[in-house]
Amino acid sequence: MEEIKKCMRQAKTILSQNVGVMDVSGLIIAATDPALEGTVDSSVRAVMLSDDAFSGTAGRTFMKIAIGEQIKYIIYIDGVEPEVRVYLELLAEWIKSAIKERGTDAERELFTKNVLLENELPGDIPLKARGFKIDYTVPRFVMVIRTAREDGNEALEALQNFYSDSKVADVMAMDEKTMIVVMNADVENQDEYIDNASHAVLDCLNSESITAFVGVGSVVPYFQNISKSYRDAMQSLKIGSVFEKKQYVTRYDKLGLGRIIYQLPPTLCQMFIDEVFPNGAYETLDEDTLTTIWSFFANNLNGSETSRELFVHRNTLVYRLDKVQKNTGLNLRSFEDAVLFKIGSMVGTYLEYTESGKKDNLMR
Amino acid sequence: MASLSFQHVYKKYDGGVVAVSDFNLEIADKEFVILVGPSGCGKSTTLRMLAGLEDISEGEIYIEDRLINDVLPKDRDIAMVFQNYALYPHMTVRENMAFSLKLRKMPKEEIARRVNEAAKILEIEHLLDRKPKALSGGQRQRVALGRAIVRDPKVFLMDEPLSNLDAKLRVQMRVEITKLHHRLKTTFIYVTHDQTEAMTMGTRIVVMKDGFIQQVDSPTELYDNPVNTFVAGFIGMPPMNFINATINVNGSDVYVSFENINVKLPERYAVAEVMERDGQEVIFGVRPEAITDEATFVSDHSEAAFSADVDVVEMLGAETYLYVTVNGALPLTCRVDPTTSQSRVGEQVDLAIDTNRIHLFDKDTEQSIIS
Repeated sequence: MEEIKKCMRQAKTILSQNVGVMDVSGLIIAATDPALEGTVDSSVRAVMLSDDAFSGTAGRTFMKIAIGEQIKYIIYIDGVEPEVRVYLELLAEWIKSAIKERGTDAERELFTKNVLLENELPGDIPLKARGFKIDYTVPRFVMVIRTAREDGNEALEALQNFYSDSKVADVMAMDEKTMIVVMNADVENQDEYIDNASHAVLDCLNSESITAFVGVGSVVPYFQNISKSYRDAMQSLKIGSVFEKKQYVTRYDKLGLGRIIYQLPPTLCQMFIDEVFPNGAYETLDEDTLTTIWSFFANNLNGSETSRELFVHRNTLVYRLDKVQKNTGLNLRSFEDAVLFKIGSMVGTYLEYTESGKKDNLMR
Repeated sequence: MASLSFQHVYKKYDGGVVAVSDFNLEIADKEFVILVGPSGCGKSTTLRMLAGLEDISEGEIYIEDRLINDVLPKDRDIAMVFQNYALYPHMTVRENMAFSLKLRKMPKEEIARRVNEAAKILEIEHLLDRKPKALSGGQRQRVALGRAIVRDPKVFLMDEPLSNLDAKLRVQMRVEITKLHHRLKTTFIYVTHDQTEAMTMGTRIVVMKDGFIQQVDSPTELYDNPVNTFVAGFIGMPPMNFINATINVNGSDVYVSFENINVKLPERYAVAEVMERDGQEVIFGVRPEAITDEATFVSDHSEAAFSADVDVVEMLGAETYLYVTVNGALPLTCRVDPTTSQSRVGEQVDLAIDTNRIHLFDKDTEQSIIS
């Protein structure tokens, strides 16, 4: 429907007469005069009964448009002069090719989805890509965008409008809350480009009051490899949801320690936790103590800065750090113990995540 | 139009990381409030909690008398403008402005009315049929504002909206946004890390650091009476000079001593909070414009005068910055009058501190000693 409306919008700039398209029930679905959209033209019955392709009533000329064997639309123009039939024929061809193009777009989207999900034979991909006019050798990366289920449709519409040029990016929905953007990265400064693109997506959705998280995959050299970038993007989203809860955009090339910990088997993680925090020592630390520890780390183990930041006396900080040492055996003022605590807590977070069954919750 | 209330609002993440702590703020209807602070201080998180894009861990946020903690973002009557214009490239300005209303299935006539009204306010009526690529940076930013205005929100939220613009355009847009606030008569909340933006636009400024509010005040109060060294150093450019000094009390006279220089403080400093610190170290804060090389002032204020070596002279037209070193050890910045200053690089200059415009901070807590 949108492509027919687009044709009408463009026709308005070319023709002086009013033109419109209705379905076989007479409902005007697109017109150069938008006020007529949604209204019903009662002449439709007479037009449909006529055997001719053209018919005319009350100062209007009508033409039936068949898609395949079936009449799907009726196009009309104000006027009965002979030349208006030529206009109608031209408009009909225009609309048919727009509809055909939409069909091709749908096939192209399906093909891209199949490549992303590795449902295409590798040998077929370059040939099919050429058929869909997809430049096979352009470097690309995939962004996976996760929104709440109720925002899925709006998010897809916003993104499809944001990236309307398929030479820049292809946008598609994987399910009702997951959108995919396959983006060309044929630029000099890829790092900055990816950063800007991912944050632009986030700002676009946030501007429409849609909460979203973006996972960014690695850049791949050929269209065939976008499935790898898709896997990377999904993994970034998952790892981000475990270790980077404050981040809305997680890039596969910037996952840090989380990338390593996420690959560890849970049994190994449990052994490490038992070693670093014996007898559930981590669980003995209350919220205030944990806040103190993260602030102490954020201030590079500087006690004065930490106590200032937390508005606590330096002695209180010393007391809290001593308590941590008593409970865990780790002296956080020593760099090695601080590193061990940091890794231990991340491993603990990961274990908690694997045990909680939150694996599919990428919204944090 | 709406008042806002943040009551003991926290944003905590699993594992004890706290992004915003005990945020309390009352914002009156039609106020223009700026949240300012360095990167990671929690200002954007606070804004996102208000917009509903981020969950609130603890506390309550009210718009007028309505608790909005669990209200969906699109039902909060809020519009947000970001650093990225996020305009739809193939749509005209008119279609861009109408898009969010179309998503909300608003009647066409109402959409057209709102778009025309917003375009008139922003003076972009002549741009309505253009596409974004045919617009300048400033015009695109106006369209982004227009997309927010058409929603007719109770509160406008802006998250560093000018960061993508060049310096000249930023100054221009600062004025535009301030005018827009006057025209719309709506509550504006604006996030920035740029203290100049904060000082020039806001009716009230909230200075944040590490998730905590440091001070909430008018621009003038923040500048003249900062509550701690963070606010004192963050607000003002060039920043305030901080000098490690010692308080010396002699009878009823109070001195601050540094680098063998004794500066006598005015009588208003002869109060218990200062006198009881005799012999103790403090942080002595002096804004660059409170140190002058004007000969008459220096000779009239010998109790606050000293000499320094000039390292760099920066002539900016209306003012000149002198970067000097006292006794080869203490670097200071001074803002002097270019029409009277004779200071040259490599020479010694006589300077004096205007002691009516000084600040004293506790060495340990970094809080202002006299409130």
